[in-house]
Amino acid sequence: MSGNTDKQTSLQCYHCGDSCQADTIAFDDKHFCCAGCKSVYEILSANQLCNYYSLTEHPGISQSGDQVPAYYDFLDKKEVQDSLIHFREGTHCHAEFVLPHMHCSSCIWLLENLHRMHEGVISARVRFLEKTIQVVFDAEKISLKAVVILLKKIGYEPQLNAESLGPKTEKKLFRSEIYKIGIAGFCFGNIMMLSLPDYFSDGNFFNEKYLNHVFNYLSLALSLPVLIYSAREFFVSSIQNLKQRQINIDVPITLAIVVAFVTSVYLIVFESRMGYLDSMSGIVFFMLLGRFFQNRSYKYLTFKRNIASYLPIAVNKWVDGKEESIPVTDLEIGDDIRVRQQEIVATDSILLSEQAWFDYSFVTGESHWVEKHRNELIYAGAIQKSGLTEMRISKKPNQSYVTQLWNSQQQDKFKNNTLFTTEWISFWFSVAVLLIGTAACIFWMFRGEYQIGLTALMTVWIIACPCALLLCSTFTYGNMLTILSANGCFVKNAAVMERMRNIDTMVFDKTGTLTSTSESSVDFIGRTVKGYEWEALGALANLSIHPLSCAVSQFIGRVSKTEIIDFVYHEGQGIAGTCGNLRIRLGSQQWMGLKRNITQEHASVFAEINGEVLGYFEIRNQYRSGILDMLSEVKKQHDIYLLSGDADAERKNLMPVFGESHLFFNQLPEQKTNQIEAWQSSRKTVMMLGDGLNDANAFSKSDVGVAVIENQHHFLPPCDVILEAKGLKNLPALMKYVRQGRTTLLLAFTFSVMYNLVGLYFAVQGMLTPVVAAILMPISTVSIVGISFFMSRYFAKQQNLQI
Amino acid sequence: MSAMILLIAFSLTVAVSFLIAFIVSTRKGQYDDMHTPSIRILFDDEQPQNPS
Repeated sequence: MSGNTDKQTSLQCYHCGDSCQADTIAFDDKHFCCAGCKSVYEILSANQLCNYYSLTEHPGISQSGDQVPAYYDFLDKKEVQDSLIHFREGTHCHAEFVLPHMHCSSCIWLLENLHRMHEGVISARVRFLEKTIQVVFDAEKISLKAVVILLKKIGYEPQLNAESLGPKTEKKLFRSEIYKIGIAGFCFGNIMMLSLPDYFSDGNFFNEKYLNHVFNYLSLALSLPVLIYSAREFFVSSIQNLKQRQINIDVPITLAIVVAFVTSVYLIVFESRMGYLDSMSGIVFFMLLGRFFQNRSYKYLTFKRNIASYLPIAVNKWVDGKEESIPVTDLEIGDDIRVRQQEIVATDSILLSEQAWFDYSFVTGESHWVEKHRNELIYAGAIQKSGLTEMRISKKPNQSYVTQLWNSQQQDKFKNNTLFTTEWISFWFSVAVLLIGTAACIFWMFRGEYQIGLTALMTVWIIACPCALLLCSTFTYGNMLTILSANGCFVKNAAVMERMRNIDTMVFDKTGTLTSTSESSVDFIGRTVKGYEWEALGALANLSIHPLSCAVSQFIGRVSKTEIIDFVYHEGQGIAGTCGNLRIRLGSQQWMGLKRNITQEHASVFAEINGEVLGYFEIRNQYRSGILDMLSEVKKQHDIYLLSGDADAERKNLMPVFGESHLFFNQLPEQKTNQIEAWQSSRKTVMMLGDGLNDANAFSKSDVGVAVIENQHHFLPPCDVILEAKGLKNLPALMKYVRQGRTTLLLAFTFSVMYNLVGLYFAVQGMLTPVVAAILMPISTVSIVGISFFMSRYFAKQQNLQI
Repeated sequence: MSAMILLIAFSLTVAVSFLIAFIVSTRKGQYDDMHTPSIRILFDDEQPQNPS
C-alpha cells in the first residue's frame, strides 16, 4: 500500500483520503494530510482499531481546516447534563448525541467500539440514518464532558445546540406509524381470508346460516381497529381541512372509508352479505404504507429548523474576574461574555476588545471576514475568528437580529394555493363519481328497482373511490424522492415536487452557490517576484494554519527547505518571519501601513519583504466545477437570473451565460425578495437557489427555495429542497427527471382509471359482486405500484442518475 | 362444518399472537432503526490481538 502512495503525484491522506499538499506528514509508513488526521490514526492504532481503515477506503473526516478549539465546560453544569442524559441507572448514564460527521460503515464500526478506547464507556449504539449515537457510560469513570471530548478526538464532534437539549418526541410518533400499518395489515389479511368463501359463492357457501354470520361479524369486528385506530389520521386531517373550507387529499379517502364501512354494516346486518370491509381495510393499509414510504427517506434532514439549533447552548460569562459557563437562556442585557476563536456569537453584542474578525457567512452566505472594532455591534450568528474576545450583551437571545430575520419569514407561503394537481384531479374525480352514482340510482329508481338502485349508488362510490389515483401519486412521488435523494437532492415533500415541475425561471445566488466556499483561486497582483522571494513567502505562509495563509501557500506551491526564524503571529493582522537576510511580512493592508481600502471585495493578503510591499494575493472563491456548462444546459429550458449580494466584479465572466439584463448585483435581501415578487407578478414560476440566511426571505417568497449546501450539517435556512453542492451540476437532469414524473404519474393514472371504468361498468348495473371488487382492488394496487416503481427507475437511468 | 369454527378460531389465535409479537418488538424499539443493523451484521468479529 505504502509503495504505491510514494508517488508524489497522487499522495492521499491515509485517514481522510484528501490529496496531501506539499507538507505531508509521514507516520507508520502512511501519509497524512495534517496533524489532526495523524493524531486520530494514533489513537486508533493504540487501541487496535485499525480495522476502521480496512472496512472502507479513507473513511476519516479531514481534520484540517476549521479546527474548533472546543470548550465544553458547560457540560459540567447539572442542568445541561440532565437534558443530555436521558436515563440513569446507578452510575450508568445513557446519553444521546448527534454526530453530523458520521457517513459510512467504518464510522459505525468505530463508534460502536468506543468502549475499547475508554474503560468508562460501557457501550455505544449508532443509528445511522438519524446520525445519532447512544452512549452508555459509567459516570464514576468518565464524565459526560470526557465522552464528548473523546468523540471529538476521533473526529466525530457531537453537535451540541439548544435544539439537541430540547424534548424529543419524534420517536413515539414514528412508532405509532408502524403500529398503524401493522394493525391495518393484520386486519386486512384476516378479513380477506374470511371473505374468501364469499367471493366464490355469492354468500351461500355454507349450508348453515350461522357460519355465514360468524364470518361476517368476525370481519366486522376485525375492521373496527382499522376504522378507529389506523384510519384516524385521515379523519382528523379531513375534518381539519373541511373546517377551513378546503379539500385536501384525505377528504375523498375518508369519504370512501365511511361509505364502505356504512354499506358493509348495512349489508351484514340486514342482508347477511359480506360487504366491502376487505376493500376498506385494504385502502387504509395501502395508503398508510405509501405514506410511510414517502416520508421515510431522510430523518436527519429537517427542512424547518429552529434558529436555536444554530446558536450555542452555553456561553462563558465573565463574572468578577472569573469565567463561568452559563446556558444562553440565562443571559441578561449588560452581561460580559468571552468568545473564543471559532465560537459563534450567541446574541447581539457590543465588542469590548480592541479589534476582532468575524465571519458572517453563517448569516449572509457571503464568505467575507469582517473586521470590527471596539464598541461596534456584532450580530448573533457571527463566527469569531480572532483570539479571545470580550463582548457585552446588548439584546436577549430571543430578540437578536438573526432571530427576528428568521421569524419574519415563517409565514405559511401556500395559504392561497389550495389545490395542486393531484388533488385537483381527485377532487373532480370524486365529484364525477358522486354524480354517476346518483344518476345510476335515479335511473333504477325510475324503473322501480329500488334495491338495485341503492346497491348501484353505494358500489359506484366504493369501487371508483379515487384512492387508486391517490396511490399513484403517493407511490410515484415516494419512488422519485428516494431516487432524488440518492443524487444529493432532498425534496421536502410531494407538493414541492409538483411545484418544481412548473418552474420556468431559475434564480441563482453567486457566492456559496455558484462558487465554492472551500476552494479558492488566488492571484498575485504586484511587481515581479524573484524565485528566492517566492520560496521565502511560501515557507512563511506554510507555517500558519490560517485559511488565507493556507490558500497562499497552496498557490505558491513549492515546498522549500528554507528555514524561517523569528516567526511571529499577529492576531488578526498577519504573520512575520525572517528568512536568511529577508524580513518578510504577510498580512492585511492596514497592517502594512497602507490606507485601508474599504471597497475591496475579495480577501487579500499583502506581502512585504524588507519593508517593501511587493503586492498582494487576491483570494477569490472559485466557481464550482462544471457550473457554467450546467447553467447553459439549464438555460435551454428555463429563464435564468443571477441575484447576488456581491459587487459586480464577475460581470464579464457571467455575462455570456446569463446575458446582460439577467445579472443583478449588489442586491440586499429585501431587493432579492422584491425582484422575485416582480417576476412572479409577471406570471413566472420562480425557483431560487441560494445558501445563506440572507436568501431565506427569497426562499419563502419563491415558489421553490433550494438550499445549496456543502455538507449536511452546514447551516441552512428553511427551504423546500436541499441540494448537495456536488449534485448541483446534475441540476438539468434532476429538473428533467422531475418533469418526467408527470409521465409516470399519467401512465399510472390511466391504468387506474381503466380499472375504475371496468368497475363502474358493473357497478352502475347494480351487479358488482364482492368477487369483482376483491379482484379489481388488489390488481389495480399492485399494477400501480409496479408501474410507478419501474417507470421512476427507467427515467432515472435515462437521465444518468444514480439509483 | 363445526370444524370450520375450530379452524377459524385456531388461525385467528395464531394471527393474533403474531400481531402481539409485532407490537412487542416495535415497543422494544426493533423498528426504530431499519438501516444500521443491515450494516452492522457485516462486521467481522475480530480476534483480540493483544490479550491485555
